[in-house]
Amino acid sequence: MFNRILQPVDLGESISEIKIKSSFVNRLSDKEIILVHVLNPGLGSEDQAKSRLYHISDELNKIGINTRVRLCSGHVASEIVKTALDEEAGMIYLPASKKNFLVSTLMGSTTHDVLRLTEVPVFVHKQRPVITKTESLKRVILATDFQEAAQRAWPYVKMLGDFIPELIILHVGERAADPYTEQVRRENVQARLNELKEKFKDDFDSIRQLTRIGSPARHIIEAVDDTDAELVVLGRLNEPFLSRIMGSTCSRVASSVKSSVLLIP
Amino acid sequence: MFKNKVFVYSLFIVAAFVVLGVINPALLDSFSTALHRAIIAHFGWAYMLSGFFFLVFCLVLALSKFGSIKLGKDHEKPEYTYFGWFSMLFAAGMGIGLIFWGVAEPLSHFMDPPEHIDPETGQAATFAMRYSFFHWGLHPWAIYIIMSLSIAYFSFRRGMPPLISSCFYPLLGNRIYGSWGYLIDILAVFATIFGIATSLGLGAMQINSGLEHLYGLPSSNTATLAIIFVTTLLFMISASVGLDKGIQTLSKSNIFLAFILLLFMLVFGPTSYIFNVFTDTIGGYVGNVLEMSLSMNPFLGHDWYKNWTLFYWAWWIAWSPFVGIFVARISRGRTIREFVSGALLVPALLTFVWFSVFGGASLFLELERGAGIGLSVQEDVSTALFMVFEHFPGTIILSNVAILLLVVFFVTSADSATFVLGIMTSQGSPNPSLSKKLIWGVTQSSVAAILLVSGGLAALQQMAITAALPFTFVLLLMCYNLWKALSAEPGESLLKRF
Repeated sequence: MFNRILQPVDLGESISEIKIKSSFVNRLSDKEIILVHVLNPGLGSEDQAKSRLYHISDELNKIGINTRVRLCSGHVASEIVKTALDEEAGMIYLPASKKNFLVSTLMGSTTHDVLRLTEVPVFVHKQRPVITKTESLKRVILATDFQEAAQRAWPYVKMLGDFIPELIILHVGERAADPYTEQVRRENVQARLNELKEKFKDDFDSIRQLTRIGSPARHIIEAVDDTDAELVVLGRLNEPFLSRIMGSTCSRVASSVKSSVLLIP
Repeated sequence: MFKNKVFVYSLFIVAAFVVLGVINPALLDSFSTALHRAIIAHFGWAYMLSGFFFLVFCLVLALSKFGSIKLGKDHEKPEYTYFGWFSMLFAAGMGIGLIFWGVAEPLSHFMDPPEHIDPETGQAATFAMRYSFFHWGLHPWAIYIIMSLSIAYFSFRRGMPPLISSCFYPLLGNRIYGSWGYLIDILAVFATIFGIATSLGLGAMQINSGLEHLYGLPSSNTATLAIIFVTTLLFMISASVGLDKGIQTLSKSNIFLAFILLLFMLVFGPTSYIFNVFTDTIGGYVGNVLEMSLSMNPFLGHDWYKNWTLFYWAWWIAWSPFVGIFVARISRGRTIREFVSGALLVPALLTFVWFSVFGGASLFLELERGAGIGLSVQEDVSTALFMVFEHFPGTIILSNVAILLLVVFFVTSADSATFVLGIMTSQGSPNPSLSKKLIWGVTQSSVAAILLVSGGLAALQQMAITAALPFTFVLLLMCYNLWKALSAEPGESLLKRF
């Protein structure tokens, strides 16, 4: 469980929408939720924002969700990341906004900026799971390449076992350059997937394994569609220069996948 | 349906084209001409960019950390000595074409340069030599290297059959054993057959011209067919003896003979003039190689570049499957750096020397002595070499040596081609059966003979160039596959040891 979860709020949202989101994320927290709002410098009234923020906090406290508030000013993504570090938050909760392509291309996306800058795990809440008070998750995909970044996601996957009954372990790798090495690689992948299955067997009711060859982002997105998973957990990789131009796997998954994403930096 | 689909389908396709060439050469000619023109007109830039990319890719590979990777297991040593290796490289890659064009190309450019250069001037001579170097220099070898390096790497280091389709495993996986693999290999056979048949046709024509020049043997179909028949018998014998004994012995002896001829021309020709030409052209080539590599001149003289540079680039690409497999076969045990530097620099340098000696001597005769060879070359390029020999002592001996060189290069090229075609149609067996080699030997000679007789040589030459377009993409994808495979080695070394 996370001690503190940082939940950025848009003051234009209705109290009921915020309550539903906070109720959902509160299940992952065992201490408090920090509501953060970032003002654009020179725009909007600080007093009005503060008043609204405290009102939201009070409403959430009334329904048993322990919250605190932080009001900041500056670049939205940078301030969210900075506040998360200052508050030693265990996770940033980001409900994905539905900007159209043109807006996100021209103006950039706060979600992508947070994903790029963060040193704290980020939960990007997409269309799935549908946010209702009673919503529960049915299956999660752990996307792994067996590298160090993927290993950092293991403790979080174990923790998610408390809420989610089914785990799907997805390995996406590159085909070896010859049939013999490819056979050895496949055997190696299967052995390591079995090790992972063994590792998580006590945490989940059922565990499935999937292996794919090719682009990680494409296969993660396809696997989510095929299995109807509601959450993908993946570690952030230090990817090569080309990925910075084409978009990192995390960024591509976060923007295109239908399920929610838990990114472990 | 068939056990060996590549062999059956490619033989069928070749036969179909030959039959069409015999029955209706005009139809084949108009079809191939239209296709060839469309490709050169619309995809010429792709050939130019690709040719430059291949050269850069070779240099990057040689200078990168991958340069120390061996084309074979780590403990393997090269099979052939440097002299044997270079001889076979040169004989397979250039050989007969160099004899044909050594005099003819510089003189052709000198007489008929692009429109912004005045013909038959010093400027035209400089241009002629520089572009002869360019067309026969680093770029063709870079194209061959991409093909041969990929095949050598995937077959000797990765243990796959020496087929072009094997190089696509990182991209296609097991699909290389299906339709995609067959398509790639059939395309390679197609290009090889038409490429080699055309060259053999050119060689036979030049031998015929030489014999006419020397002995008054009239240039006729019968004479050309007889030449093809005799040379076919010779390369069949060479193919029967086997690679080690046959091709290597012939290549070595031919390089020795070519060297003697070269030395003679250098000593008895305008020696200082030739050295001046060599030095000046090397300087011009090195200083302008980047500009020439990407020069399409769309505003002025574009047709010249289409007719020459793009023709050559397409031609080298069409030849690359044949040269690539053969060069791969003889390069086992060398490191990538050694392979790239050896195959890129040594044959190119030998070619530069050859062009300087023969092209330089002919330009000397034309500019300084007013020999009038250029006009004769414009009429019939196959006589160019013999016309130059007339101005040297021992004309008859020189011409006979040149004919012998042509015959032996004919034999080595045809022998190498049958060997390569045998490999390609035997699912990559490194030692194809004699019967298969003989079938391909007869086929390629028949193609050359039938086309010469039916007048369809130009049409088939154009078809080979047409086949180069898909092969350009094949080569580009080979670069991708090779890079992927080389990049994966450190990670895979945890799984297995090389």
